[in-house]
Amino acid sequence: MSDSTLPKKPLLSPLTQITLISLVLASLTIGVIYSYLNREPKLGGGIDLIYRDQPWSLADHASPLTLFYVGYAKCPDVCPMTLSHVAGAYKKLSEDEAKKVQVLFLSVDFAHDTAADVANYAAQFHPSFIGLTGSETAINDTVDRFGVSYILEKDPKSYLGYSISHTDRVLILDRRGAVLESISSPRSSDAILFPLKGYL
Amino acid sequence: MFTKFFSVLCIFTATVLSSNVASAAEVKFDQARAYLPMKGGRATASYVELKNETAKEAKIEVVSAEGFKAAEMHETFETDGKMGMRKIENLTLKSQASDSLVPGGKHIMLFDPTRDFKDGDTISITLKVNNTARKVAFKMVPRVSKESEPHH
Repeated sequence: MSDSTLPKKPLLSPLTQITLISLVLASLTIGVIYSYLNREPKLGGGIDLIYRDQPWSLADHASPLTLFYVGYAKCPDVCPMTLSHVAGAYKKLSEDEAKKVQVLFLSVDFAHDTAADVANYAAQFHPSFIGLTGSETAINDTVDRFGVSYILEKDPKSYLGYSISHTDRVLILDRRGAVLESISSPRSSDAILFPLKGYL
Repeated sequence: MFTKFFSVLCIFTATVLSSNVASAAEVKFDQARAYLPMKGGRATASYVELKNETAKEAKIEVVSAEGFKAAEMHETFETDGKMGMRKIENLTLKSQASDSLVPGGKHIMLFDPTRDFKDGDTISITLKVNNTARKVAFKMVPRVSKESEPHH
């Protein structure tokens, strides 16, 4: 009997083959999941601005959920109305729920609102609220990333001399800053609380 | 002759004065309140319910506010998904009509407080009703109440 007629012995046993294939598939699956979890969000992302004259980054202050609102501190009507509703919603959270939520307010009025102005302004709605500002470039990068916008308009007839039109949206962000939900012009605290509770 | 002339003059003056007073008095201002100024902001807003109970149209303008450097009437508007504000010179109320200055709508903006205020203080805002000055008392209220909901 020649050697060619003998059955070839596989290099790896069936058990080893199955184990290897399983390992490869598991690695691929983990890789896909890891990539998915760490993908760049379609809307939102990092926040790198200024808080009380110090750099402030969402990456360094990650919270399970963030409520993010963009306006300006000298706005007398829309911003304080919406921030009042945000404060109302925040106060309705239980102590444990509140620990999972932080509130950020970004002033786009880089020319007039100082870091202290914005921080003091936000803290009057709730002591934990964080008022952020930044350079014109940093502010514009941030608002673009989060799909909000503003227009600075001169208003020579008015005492203030200018006005800022801006989107009136409360954004719910995840830990990485991805926008989970955008609440347009909330006119009650419940309009913010109910969607927020859905993520807690 | 002088007595007769003086009597006519008195009646004429009284008639003119009373018509102006009546005209102003019959535009009612209810629930007049102003938000306490906030640190970091130069402007705050005040709101009021208006009812013109006179038989003629009433034009209402904002002149000044006690304790603030300036006061103006503004309205909030929405365009292209953005909320903005613009100054308006006056508002007109038809006879027997009502209007409300409310958050997110028309409001009286108050700029640069010249003194400190506290919850419950009252300020006087001077308006013009058909060119007649009228002082209206506005109660100062906090933006966020101790309860959960903001004041409206």
